Amino acid sequence: MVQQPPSEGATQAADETPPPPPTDIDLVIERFPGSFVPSWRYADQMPTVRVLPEHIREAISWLRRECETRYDMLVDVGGSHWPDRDEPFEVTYILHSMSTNARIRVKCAVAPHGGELPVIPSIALIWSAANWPEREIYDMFGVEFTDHPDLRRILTPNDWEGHPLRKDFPLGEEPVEFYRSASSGV
Amino acid sequence: MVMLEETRTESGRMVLNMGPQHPSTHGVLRLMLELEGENVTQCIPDMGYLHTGIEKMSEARNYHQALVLTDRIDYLAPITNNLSYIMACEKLFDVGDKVPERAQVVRVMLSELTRIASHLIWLGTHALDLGAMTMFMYCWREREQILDIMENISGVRMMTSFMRIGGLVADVPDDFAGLVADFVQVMPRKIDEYETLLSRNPIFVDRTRGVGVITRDGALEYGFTGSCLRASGVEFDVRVNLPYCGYETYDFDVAWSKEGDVYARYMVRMREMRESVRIIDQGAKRLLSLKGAPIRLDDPRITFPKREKIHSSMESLIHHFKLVSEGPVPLPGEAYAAVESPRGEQATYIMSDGSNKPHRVRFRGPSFYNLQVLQHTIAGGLVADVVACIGSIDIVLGEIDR
Repeated sequence: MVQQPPSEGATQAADETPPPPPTDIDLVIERFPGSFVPSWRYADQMPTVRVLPEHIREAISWLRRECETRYDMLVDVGGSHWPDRDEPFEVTYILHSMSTNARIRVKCAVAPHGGELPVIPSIALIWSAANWPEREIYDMFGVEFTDHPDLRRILTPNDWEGHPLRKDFPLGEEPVEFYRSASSGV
Repeated sequence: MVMLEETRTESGRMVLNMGPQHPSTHGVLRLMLELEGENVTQCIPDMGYLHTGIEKMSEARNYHQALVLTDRIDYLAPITNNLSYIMACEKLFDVGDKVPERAQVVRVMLSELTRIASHLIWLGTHALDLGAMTMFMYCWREREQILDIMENISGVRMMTSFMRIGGLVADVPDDFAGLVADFVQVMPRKIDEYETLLSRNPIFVDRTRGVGVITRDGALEYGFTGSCLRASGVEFDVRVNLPYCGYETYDFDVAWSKEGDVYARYMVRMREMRESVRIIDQGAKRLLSLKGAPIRLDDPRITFPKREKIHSSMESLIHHFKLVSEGPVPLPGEAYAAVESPRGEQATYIMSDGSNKPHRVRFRGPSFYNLQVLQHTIAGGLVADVVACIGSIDIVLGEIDR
């Protein structure tokens, strides 16, 4: 969660008042061991937590049905590929609470073992909205979702080879001039 | 994609292949229907025929260049796609709250014009699917008026790419106000006209009432957003619940309904068009008082220098060249920005690794989620209701396949 720098007046008041109630992020970290808030810039100020793949189904289910805020809408499930990281495949779930208009982002990252596809438990059985997005991630990134009811390619043809949104999948166009990488500096 | 080998299953049911060229599938959606007489027993949607790899292409372009691709995602509402992409960029560059007010007002007005234009296409084709030919002509007539406005401001009728990070590409021309005033005056009466043709038309009502019912719980289970969700009794509208571009300062009602059938979705969208007209009218009044105000943020990291400066100052020319060739460079991080497109929550999710190109751009297409429920609604119904259901969900395949 991005911390707002407290103003001077606020710090004084904070000494007298009891500590604020735990946020949903704190509760997730408490309930599911191994969860943490990634040190990364979330420019949209959405509270974010990363949980271990083996807890993802329970975590989403808890946020939806048991947690006080009741995140009752699954807004989005998306994947991303970060080849330089230890766990290169990241799946992001965004949940919305109708009663409070709060949003929470839950992340889950996995690494492939050997030559096999990385594996994450599917949440499609507990939340049907995740069915097609998970198929899309399987199609585009080659992340396998265990217990998914219908894990087939969705956008590319069934006989397509490779996973197009992986960073090592060639784009098939001319490289652009003046490319500036993150490490090249000014 | 799944291929059909036999047209009859062992139980004697017939397998019917609907689409991808069927006109009522609105683009290139393919449905495999298993029929028992007139009843649909199973439906398997198959898409991807329009997959163009927009997300992958965005990763190879800088932040200014990827904008033109967003027009092509939901090609019936290019402005709202532009807006969600631009808003995500603005959050990434930490300038989300610094966009000038005049730009915000124009953004709201254009979004609502697009909403009406998109709803008109939906209304025309939906009615055409159900056999009402005249509606199609009427709707195209009013849509033409909106496209004229778009052409007037940007020179392009559909793929306007009118938004820029920090504002707009240019100010609206002087006759914009007049065109909008004409439209605002005409449109409510036209909507009355559509309603006299359809709302109590016994054929239309018989074919839509109680058809394709989606309950409140079903809508939330399948990730519905937009008019479809509101027709199922959930009052959720991104414009109200998570306001952007100053929507909280406009006076408008959120149309919703409890029934959740095709007719409810029709009524919700009709009311939504009226509310959009109200918002456009309020925006036009604000625009008058903001005459001559800036339309773009002045931030050298992102926005281009003024034209006169490029001609007179060497530094500005270099600045312009750097911004065009290399593009703006944000800090590493990620941002998710959502807008209420005519179909629901359209969102862009950008992840940056600190280079001049986005590391990952994800577009959340509302139709992609809304279409998921289709196979469950039409199974058990009549084959003739399939077109009514597809039409009422208002899908755009460009957004589903991206």
